[in-house]
Amino acid sequence: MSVNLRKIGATLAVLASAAFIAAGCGGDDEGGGGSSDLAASQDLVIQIGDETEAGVFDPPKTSYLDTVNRNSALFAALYRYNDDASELVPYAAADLPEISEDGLTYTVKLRDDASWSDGKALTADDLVYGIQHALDPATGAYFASFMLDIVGACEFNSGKDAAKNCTDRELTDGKPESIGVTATDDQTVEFKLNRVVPWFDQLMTLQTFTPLRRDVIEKFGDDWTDPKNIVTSGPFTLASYKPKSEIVVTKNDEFWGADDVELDKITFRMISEPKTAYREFERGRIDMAFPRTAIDAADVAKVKTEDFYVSAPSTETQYAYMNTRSPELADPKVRQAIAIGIDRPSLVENVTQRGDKPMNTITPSGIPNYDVMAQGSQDFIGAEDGPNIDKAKGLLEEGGWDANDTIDVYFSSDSGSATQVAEQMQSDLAKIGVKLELKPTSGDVLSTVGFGISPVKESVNIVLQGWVADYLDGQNYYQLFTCDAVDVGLNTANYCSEDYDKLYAEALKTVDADDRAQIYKELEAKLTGPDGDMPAAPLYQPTNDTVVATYVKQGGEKFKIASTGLIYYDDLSITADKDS
Amino acid sequence: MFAYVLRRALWSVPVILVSTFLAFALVKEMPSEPFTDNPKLAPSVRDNLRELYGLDDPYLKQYADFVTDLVQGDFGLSTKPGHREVREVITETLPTSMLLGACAFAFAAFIGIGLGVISALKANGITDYVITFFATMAFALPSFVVATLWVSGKIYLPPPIGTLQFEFPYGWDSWGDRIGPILVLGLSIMPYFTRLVRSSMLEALQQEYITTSRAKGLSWRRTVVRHALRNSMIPTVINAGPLFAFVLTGSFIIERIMIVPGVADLFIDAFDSPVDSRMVLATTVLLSVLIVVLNLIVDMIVAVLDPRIARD
Repeated sequence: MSVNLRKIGATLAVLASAAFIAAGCGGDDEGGGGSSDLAASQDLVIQIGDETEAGVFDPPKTSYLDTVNRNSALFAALYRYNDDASELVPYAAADLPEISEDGLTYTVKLRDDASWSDGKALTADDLVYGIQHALDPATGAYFASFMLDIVGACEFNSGKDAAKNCTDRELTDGKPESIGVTATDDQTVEFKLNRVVPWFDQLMTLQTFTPLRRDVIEKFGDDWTDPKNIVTSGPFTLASYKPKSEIVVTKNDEFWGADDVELDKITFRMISEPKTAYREFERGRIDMAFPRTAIDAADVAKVKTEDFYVSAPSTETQYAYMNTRSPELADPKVRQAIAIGIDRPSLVENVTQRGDKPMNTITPSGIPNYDVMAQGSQDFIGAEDGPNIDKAKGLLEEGGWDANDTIDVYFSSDSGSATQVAEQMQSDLAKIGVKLELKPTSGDVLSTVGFGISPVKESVNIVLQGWVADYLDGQNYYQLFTCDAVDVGLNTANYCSEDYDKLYAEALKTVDADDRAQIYKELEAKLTGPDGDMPAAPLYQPTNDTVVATYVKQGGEKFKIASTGLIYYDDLSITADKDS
Repeated sequence: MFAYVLRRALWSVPVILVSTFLAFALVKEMPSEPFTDNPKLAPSVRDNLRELYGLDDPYLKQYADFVTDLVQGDFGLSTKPGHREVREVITETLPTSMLLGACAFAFAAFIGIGLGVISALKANGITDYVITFFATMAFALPSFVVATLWVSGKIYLPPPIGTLQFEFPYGWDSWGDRIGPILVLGLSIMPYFTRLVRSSMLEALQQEYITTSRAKGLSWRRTVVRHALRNSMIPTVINAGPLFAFVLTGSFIIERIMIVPGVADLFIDAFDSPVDSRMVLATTVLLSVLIVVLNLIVDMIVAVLDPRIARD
């Protein structure tokens, strides 16, 4: 998902940090407790960001992680991930989808006890309408991008430009009824695809696959999400919304699992400034904070050992993309040398300081079958060991490196610690004789060098960029290095290899996840393995972290942070420790 | 007087028009296009979004649409995800900022002018020095530092004092909480009043008409209030207009740190890449209208204080 949380007000954060460093900012122990008795009141207060999108409740229109997640309390998704995000579990669906042998038809059966907060039964028609609403060009849903392999979806979403945008198929008439999502009975929906999408079941966890009520949306238009009009299908329903201040949701008694939902009320308090969010936590005015929004990297060291601090690797990566079309970096040996010349342990310890994980693969851990894929790299980079200067120098020589060349590194200076990462790379690579020139820029200005819209310009050598998983399949990462991805500026390295593409195409056709992982392993080897082309140097895997009072339990146990950063609110409860 | 006000009011129209065009042109010139920084968007989705915002229309048509919408009170859609109506977002938050600004302004004016008068009357005495010292301190400390310290609840001082712990109110839920942001914002502008009033008052006190009114037998108190203070208010009022606009725009850091659900914060988010062009335009235009209107009011007040100005 496009997580911009850390970007918000980065400058301010820096200013505020300066003041806070002066002020000091210790952490008071919230006090742990072993009691599992529930508290008298099951009211949870959680902090989220206060960006404009916080006022958006229409599921397909949401895109920030905290907004999408808040909405998951209101609208039941078809599927969710289990605790360690290793597999899907049905939620509003009764079972995992039934997949036809050719992999082109997915049949989803909805729970027969699912109903809306106004008491009406949730039906297959609601799901069909939800899909149409998400694909409607007027909705302008970012995440519609993940639905376009459904028959007729691209045509409806493109309107008059269908012929230009939907080239890989026989065009439908572009009407919403022609979308390949149909109700075969009251509880069953059939999805027809244009091509095999082995991770399609995972896409069904997204907010664009949410059942929605046609009658409510048509009656109230854009106002359908007002607390007085909204009808929800999830464990909670919207009670009130105070702009830029707070959102209150209360338990939905019509929810099928209402008996198991412990929380009666959740208040989402919008606080963008991490320092303030943390202070509110110290003062006991919030029980928990949304991942990554309450602690600045500089403060992590201070709270790291506390019981209320939770962290886990995120399914996300940071790369130094190396432009294979730029003359300086055309030789794979030179790119390999640069990749192994970077001191990753120092990068995560001294620069990002968040407990991030040094990386040696394109795909991060947490993606199912990661261990298989990782074998492809054979740890050529030696991520945990730090740089191998002699080996790097040798590779540079083999690659015919000209010591007079300078490498331009582009990065977005308004987000996270990219500037400091670039600075460290500069000093690391100077040791192997590669001179870097830093080109700080703003996130969207990167598009002026081609990033995200067209092939990245040849004059650009290195771009520092991350990738957050949208669904948990290796394809999400390996797609970044296909020839097709060059034209749209997604393949920032401009890497194009016939062999790689052939393997990739095979992976797309392989429905069995284990077989597919074997192909991914080969793809990984072609990128980061000893004989790989190293179009991008994996740097580190960021960490999700937050503060959660110890009296907040998840399924009765200590709160654990998911690699996706998502929180399932119906699993949470508050123990009696809060009352004491 | 009426002609004077009308003339000033008519002048505001081209000023606002020029400022909208400048704002529009500057936003267009930013090396930033919405929806291009997100490589995850499919071409059809990106096309839809560009069409939704009319980004592919010719330059002047985009400006004409913008002004036409604006005249009808429509600020268009925010280009941030979720594309909410800018007008809606602003009406949700502007009243809070106005209230915060007005309260802080009133507080600063009341205390600031009072201290300025005392300072001038006791010029070069110990009271004057104390007031000047605190005014300079408040002037020198950036409001984000004050706000952050205020919220942090801790301040580390050298031994033997050690850590000083405190709990100050902040937030916007109740008036008890609101005191925090109002005080912090008020403190940041109070010194302007104190310094302005002090210097213009000192100047006024040396004028011949003061000696004259004293010679005519007017009491010192009446002389100060009716002549010295009244005349020294003119520069204060002239400066207070822009200062009020500054309170509204300058409070964004305070709003963010002290959790005030105001509009100023939106301005920062709007500039966070990708730039939310309609939001930037709307806030810029709103602020320029505000400044123009405030200046108009200032001109009117000054005309009342010194009728000679309107006659020129």
